[in-house]
Amino acid sequence: MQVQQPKYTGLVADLLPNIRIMQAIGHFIFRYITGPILIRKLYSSVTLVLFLFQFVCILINLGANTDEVSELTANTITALFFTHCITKFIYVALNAEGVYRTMGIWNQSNTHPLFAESDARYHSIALSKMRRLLFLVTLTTCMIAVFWTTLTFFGDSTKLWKDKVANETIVVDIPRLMIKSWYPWNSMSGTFYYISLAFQLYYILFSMLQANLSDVLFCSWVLFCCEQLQHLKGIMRPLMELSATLDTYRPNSAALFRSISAGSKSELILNDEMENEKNSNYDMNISAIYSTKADWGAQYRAPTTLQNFNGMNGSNPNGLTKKQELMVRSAIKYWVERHKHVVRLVSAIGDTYGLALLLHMLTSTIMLTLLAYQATKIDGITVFALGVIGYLLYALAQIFLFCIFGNRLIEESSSVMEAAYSCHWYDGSEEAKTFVQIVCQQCQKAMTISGAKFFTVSLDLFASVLGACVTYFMVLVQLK
Amino acid sequence: MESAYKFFGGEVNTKHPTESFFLQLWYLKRLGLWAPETDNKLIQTLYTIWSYFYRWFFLYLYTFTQIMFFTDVEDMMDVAEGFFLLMTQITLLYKVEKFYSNRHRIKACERILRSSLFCPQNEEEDAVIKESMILTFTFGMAFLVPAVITISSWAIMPFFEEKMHLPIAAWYPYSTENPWIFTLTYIYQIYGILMSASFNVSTDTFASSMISHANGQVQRLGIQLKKIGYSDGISNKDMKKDLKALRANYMTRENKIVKVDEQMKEINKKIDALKEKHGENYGEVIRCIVYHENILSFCSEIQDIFKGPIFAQIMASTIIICMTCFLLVNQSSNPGAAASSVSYLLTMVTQILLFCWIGNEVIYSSYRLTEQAYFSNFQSFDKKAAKALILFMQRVSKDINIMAGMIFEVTLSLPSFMGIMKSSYSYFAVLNTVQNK
Repeated sequence: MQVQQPKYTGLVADLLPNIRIMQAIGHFIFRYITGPILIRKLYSSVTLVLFLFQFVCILINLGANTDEVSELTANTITALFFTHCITKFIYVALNAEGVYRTMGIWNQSNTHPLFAESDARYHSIALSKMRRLLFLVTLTTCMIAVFWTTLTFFGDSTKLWKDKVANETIVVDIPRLMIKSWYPWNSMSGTFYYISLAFQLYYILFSMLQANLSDVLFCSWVLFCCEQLQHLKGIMRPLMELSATLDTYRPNSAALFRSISAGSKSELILNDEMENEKNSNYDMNISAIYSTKADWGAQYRAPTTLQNFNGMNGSNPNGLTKKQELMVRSAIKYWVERHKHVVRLVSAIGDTYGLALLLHMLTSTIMLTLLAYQATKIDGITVFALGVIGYLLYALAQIFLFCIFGNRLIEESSSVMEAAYSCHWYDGSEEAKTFVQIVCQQCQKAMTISGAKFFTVSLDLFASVLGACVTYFMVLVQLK
Repeated sequence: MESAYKFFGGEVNTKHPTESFFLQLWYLKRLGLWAPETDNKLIQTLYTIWSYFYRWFFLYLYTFTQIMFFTDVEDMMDVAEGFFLLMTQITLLYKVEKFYSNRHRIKACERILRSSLFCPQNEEEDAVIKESMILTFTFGMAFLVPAVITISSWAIMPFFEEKMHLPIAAWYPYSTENPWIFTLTYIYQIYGILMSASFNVSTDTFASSMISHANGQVQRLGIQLKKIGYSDGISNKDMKKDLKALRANYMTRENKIVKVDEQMKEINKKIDALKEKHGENYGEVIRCIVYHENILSFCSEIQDIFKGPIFAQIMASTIIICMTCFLLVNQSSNPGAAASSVSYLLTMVTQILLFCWIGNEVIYSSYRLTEQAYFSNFQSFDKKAAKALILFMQRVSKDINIMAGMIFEVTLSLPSFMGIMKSSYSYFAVLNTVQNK
């Protein structure tokens, strides 16, 4: 018997591939699935235990090799690297409710017949971008894991050990593994070596994927908001033109009531069809947006104008029917409600993921400082050099990923004001002008994601991190 | 945190927000900084005498002995040792005197918090005020606990050294060789330092708690803003129910029907007149604007009273942090002394962090006001109400910054906290280099 797949709507449907992969690699996300939850919980718990075990082994190795400075630095960098992964894993586990809540904010959105086409277009753009991002990040992470494994098989598999008795540094052999780690078994050779190798490969791949995919989830949310803002900006001009038909005479007002979106290529719907449409679907769309009479009642000073709809209406120079007028007034309401919806989603994203970003930045700052120190010791294209550069690029790329999306959100949200201003508001009705004024006032403050109120996620943050890194490197090179 | 609050005897009743100051007021009343509310002249005079005596004996005399210590210092280490506590003391003197001279204004601010305008009207607002109250208590504890740990470690330290010497570096006109005199002086020192810590905790956390309550009020304003325009179409029955609930709020206050106070009555009268003339929405927007004005004047009053002390504290803390780090690095390895230095460092950092953190919260809450005004049902407003809303949004687009300082002003926020830490570190680095030369 085939179980009916539940239909997911809204953000969940768009992000389903991301969620599925996250569930597959062991994140503690147990909604949006069919089937027994217990097995999944078991799987996630086992993954958590294995990861913590490996992390503790790395820490034990760190503790056991504190005498030699270069070993200490290298081990600390490795430990910090995997701190990211553990932190993100535990953070998502503890904050799963926040994730569900954020997803739930956009499970249904309002629609308007005039703007449905633009909505669908930007939605599909967002969807394709999100898929592309997911694919790229997953591919890059897998490639990094492969690169790391390959690099292990080059160069000497040794470590420096400070012999306390002779008070000198000697070179000691260690197992040829990706991460320098202590194991309760002897992993120098034999079956245990292969077990350790396989375990480390699993660990590296899965923990990097975990950390990166939760960042991708965050970036996808932000991407979705940006595309919604693009949609809103796109329909601003048709909105103004529509509202202008209420007050000023427009020769082509009939054409406006065709399916309007900026640059659309869809079929034109004749004005007569619109007028004769009496199906409940159409009415329901409107009534879903408008529920109280008071919404447009305030506009009219003389109540008699409401009753008279035969032919040329005194207050309407274009002879719009009642239905058309209703559509125009509902258009502004659609715009405002959609914008409020986006604002709500952005604040939910900030609340859910802000703390994770703060923790990420704290770990990264320390790691980058240590990497700058290690970088001063590079003296040629060796395995060491490649390793250090690899770590550096990876850390910077992670920060760059969420900074660039945060920055795009800031830019998009502040450009709404410019779009509102540039859309010939002077042609619009009085109601539209007030609406533009309030929107401009609100959009002067860009929508930002803040890392638990400590910093704003933007390219400025990335620039300051990069700048600090370079400064430390320069200073340390001077000190040598 | 809430359970700890209740454990210490606090009442989480959002109609009495100033009850959250119980920790601070307990100290302030006993230290002579919070006169009782009586008309009895005798009690007032007695209280004034008590406060003067207390301050003179335990603060001024105490600090004097510490200053005299500098008459025979030898090297940088001695200076650092004497200095790091002296800085706190001198700043404390300034803060306490400012608090005492401003005590009437501070009491007025506390009364403002109890006014009807600042009283939460429904559950959502209750939650916000409750948060402020618990935060007030948390600040007190967050500062008190490290302070107590530091003082106890200083008190115990002399017992672990070969030659017993007084924990605080100070000069006395008599010799402290005699064990009895030594014990008495020791007790005086420890009690003095306990008193100084109490003064510090109560005055500082009073300031930051006031700011935290201001933060709660800003959030309350946001909640009210979001609701404007959505009450259209409420039937008479609903309105009556709301009014009844409103009256019920006041009925539970000491089981008497306490009316709204004069200020609120005036405001209500004005708003009702406006609603008659220009419409329901206009009246509601103006009500929010009036409330915002009151919050702003409260914030600027708090800022005016406390900006000197907070700035002095920040300056002192910067220097103290650098001195303490210096001592930590260069002192002979004495784990007891190191531990007490670390806890002193922690206390100092906490002191600045409290101010900067709550200032940051206020900035963020006021930042959100524009957005919350946007969430009102402004599409349904008529032109007058919309214009009023636009003017309001224009005003709130500027965040509420709590500043500290006289000529040179510092905004209390987390970035400025990071700046303070950085400058502390650079002074320490310079000092260390000078020492190691």
